[in-house]
Amino acid sequence: MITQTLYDGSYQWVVMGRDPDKPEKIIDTNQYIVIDGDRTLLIDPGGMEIFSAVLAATLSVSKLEHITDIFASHQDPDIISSLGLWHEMLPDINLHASNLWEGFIRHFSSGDVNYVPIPDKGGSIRLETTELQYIPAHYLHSSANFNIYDPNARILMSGDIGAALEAPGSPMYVDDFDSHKEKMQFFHKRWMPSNEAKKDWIRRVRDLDIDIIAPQHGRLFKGDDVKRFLDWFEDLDVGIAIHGS
Amino acid sequence: MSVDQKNMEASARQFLAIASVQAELFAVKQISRRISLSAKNAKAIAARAGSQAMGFHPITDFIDDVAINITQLVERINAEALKLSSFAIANRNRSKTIEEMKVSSRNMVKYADHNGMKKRIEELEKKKKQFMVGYKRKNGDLLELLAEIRNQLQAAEMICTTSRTEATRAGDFQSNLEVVADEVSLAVNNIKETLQSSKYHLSQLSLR
Repeated sequence: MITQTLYDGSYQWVVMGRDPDKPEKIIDTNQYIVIDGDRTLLIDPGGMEIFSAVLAATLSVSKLEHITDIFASHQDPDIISSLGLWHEMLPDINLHASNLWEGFIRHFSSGDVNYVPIPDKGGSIRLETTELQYIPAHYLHSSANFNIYDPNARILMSGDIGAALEAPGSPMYVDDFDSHKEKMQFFHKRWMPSNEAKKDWIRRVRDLDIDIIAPQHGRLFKGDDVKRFLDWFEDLDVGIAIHGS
Repeated sequence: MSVDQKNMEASARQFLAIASVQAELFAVKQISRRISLSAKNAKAIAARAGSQAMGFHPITDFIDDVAINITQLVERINAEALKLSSFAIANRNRSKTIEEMKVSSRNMVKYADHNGMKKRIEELEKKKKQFMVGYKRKNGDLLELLAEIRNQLQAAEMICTTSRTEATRAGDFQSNLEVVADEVSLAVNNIKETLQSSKYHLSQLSLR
């Protein structure tokens, strides 16, 4: 699994992904870690099948006992079905996820994980020196869904927003936005259910100072591609299955 | 086959064995209800037979008691089997975590924190061993409960013999009471066969 540093200041953001040993039929995912002193936050740690690869990659940048928190943007298995294994290994770990999904996500573990519910309006998590914000992204695509925004590193981890379906081993960043659009199109048109939710999210995100949009699948957007993505997404009609695809 | 695959297969066998025991015990419960009905039927016949079937009255109460005892034992066994099933799931998760951590360790020998992982793996393996002791005890408890049911069945068999003897003194009602004794006897044999199968399934529950 490839690891790449996104931000390196008094704390670090690292992306992990493009696992060459990933079973072929499961969707490729990006996992993120924020290492802040003795506190390490795992963001969308992924499914059971990639647990050992994510663990090895995480421990290349963080100590085991420093992994204190997990954030799940929503309830999907590719986001958090590894929870039972993380919890077995680290019984005191805190899981931060929507209060709406608590009874559902607990099915992925023995049920007694320390669940820190996030209310619909969002909130924040304080690590050792930095504070990250939970940005509501409901209905994009999950009905209770959050992004993580770091105002200091200017990174928005956007969950499934900005995701693309593409070949294994693709580069970590978008290098040609125009050619990248078609890799995102179906995913957003089909998985995102609400134009209204999309517009509301774009309005709020445009007010944030962002250098990197970091989705859970596919490539990351950097610099001018952040605005290009928001403009493209704004013009896209989503929820197409209601018309029979 | 990898260790992980072997563990998964063993887990699948355990879940299947526990589910089989639960299904069989459900059947036993149904049969014990039949025994209870037969007892009530016998009581009605004995009442009609009056003094001719005086000896049958305490027998019917006894048959009813046996049926109630078996039902209660089955409920206890079911509750224990459910606990055992939860144990098996927890054990499977722990084994899977240990295996995955070992895979990670092999992939990260170059990293300084390797020792942290080793320590945690050792802790989990120790926890797993302690857990196995509890699991074996629970499995033993289940087998003891099955043995208790067998004791109840032996009592029921003796009652069937006594019932047939008493039936011969019931005059016009002899054949009716013999039918009841046959029904109870058949039910007891059915339960015995089912329990034999449950015992086999429980013997398959050794965990890795």
